[in-house]
Amino acid sequence: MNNPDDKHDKNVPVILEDLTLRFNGRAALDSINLEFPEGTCTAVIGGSGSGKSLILKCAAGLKFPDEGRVIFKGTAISSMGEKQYQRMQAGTGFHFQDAALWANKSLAENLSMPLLTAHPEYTDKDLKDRIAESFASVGLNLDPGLRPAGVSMGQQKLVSFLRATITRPEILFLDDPLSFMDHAGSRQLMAGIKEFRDAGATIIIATHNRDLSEKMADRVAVLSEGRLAAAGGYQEVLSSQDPALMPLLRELL
Amino acid sequence: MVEAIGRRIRQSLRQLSYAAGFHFFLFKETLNFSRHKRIGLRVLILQILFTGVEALSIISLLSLGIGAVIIIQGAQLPDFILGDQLYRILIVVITRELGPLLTAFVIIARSGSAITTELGNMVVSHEMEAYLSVGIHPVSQLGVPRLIGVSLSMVLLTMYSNVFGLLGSLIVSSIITRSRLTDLISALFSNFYMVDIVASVVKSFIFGIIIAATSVYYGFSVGGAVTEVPVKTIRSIGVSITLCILADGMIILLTVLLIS
Repeated sequence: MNNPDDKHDKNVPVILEDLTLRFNGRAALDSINLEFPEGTCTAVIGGSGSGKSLILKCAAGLKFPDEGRVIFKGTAISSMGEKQYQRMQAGTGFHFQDAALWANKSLAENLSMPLLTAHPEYTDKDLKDRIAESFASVGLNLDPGLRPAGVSMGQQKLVSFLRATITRPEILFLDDPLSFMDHAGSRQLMAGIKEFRDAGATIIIATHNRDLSEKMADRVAVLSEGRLAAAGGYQEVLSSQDPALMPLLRELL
Repeated sequence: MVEAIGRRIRQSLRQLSYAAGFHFFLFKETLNFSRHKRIGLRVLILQILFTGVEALSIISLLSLGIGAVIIIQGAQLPDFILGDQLYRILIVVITRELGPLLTAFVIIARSGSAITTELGNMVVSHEMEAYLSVGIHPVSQLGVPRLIGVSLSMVLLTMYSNVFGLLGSLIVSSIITRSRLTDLISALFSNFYMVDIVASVVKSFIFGIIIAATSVYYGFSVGGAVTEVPVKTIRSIGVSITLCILADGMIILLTVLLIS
């Protein structure tokens, strides 16, 4: 028997189909249909409360929609077994808007958790080397034994980015990556994102930072009050003369 | 009106099915703990330290006091005699009832509430989602070590509480009856049976599972608002106490039925 999901293009690793998510009866995401083709960088833009973070979390399988489904590499996330779901998560990286580092673990432990999941064979020395290497890659000069509360929010965000990327995932979800970041931190993070983009990773960024979306994104999805207002090539959408879209874009960028 | 009742029933059924699924997954993952040992062992050790070791002082004080009070109150009765009958009552009351229940109440107040608060705060700060995002199920990582840690600590603390409860009774008895403490201890031991220890272990282990599973469940059921954390913590304490008392009643009933 054919898998009903076989019709989905394997070159589009993440597809959102009629995605609806409600909070207290109100649709925070309303019938979203969106595709994230392989090797592209999509900026999801929209005002505060438009549902950018929710789209990312649903696409990454961290939240389950009330209606519709998310197809990940040809399989609906909701139909995945435990093992398949864990494999999917191990192949993706999620950078949280508020860092979401584990508060009761050191920075090093925050990075060793995904490493140990992906490489259970790693020794303590392997872990230490990989963590030191990743700290150096973003110019972090911190004691890895510190707890997240002992460093600034900007530094926490850099460590959170490292946690999302330390296993070199093929798909990267970045939720407002430049918030709380100073200029130097932003530059480091942009360089890190660029490295992944150039390596052919599929990147989905929720942001309202014009500089970031212009430099990184080749596609854009515009959200307004939980609905998809427009989606497509970055330049094509931004140069749209659609009278319904123009005021929204002016407001956002 | 009918619609509202129907909605409430549907909601209750959904909650019940979620709770059943959650507990099934928690117990299934507990059986698979060895798979996550490298990551979860540290959480388990910390849980045993917090629940077991750090509660020793309060448990000893409470048990010593309760054991002493039983004899002080008993001594007010007109025909108070320190004999085999009294030793049996002391052993049965302390090891089978007071020890496990008192320890359970202390663990609920100390560790159960702490577990619900900690897990609830982790939900609010998206730390649970962070576990999912790196391919680790938070229930396996955070729930399972707590379930094992609290259950083991409950058994050990109950044994400890039994010793101190009986010791408290004997110390007061030796003062009241002017007998040597060592004589009273050996008399008490001659009235001790293996079934008393088994009953105490079984009961405390069941209470431990109830407390841990309830606290973990309510911690994970925090929706995302920080104001939900104290609400769920209070609910978790109430439900844990109720379930422990119900379980205690059922165990007593089963024991009576089995003996008769």
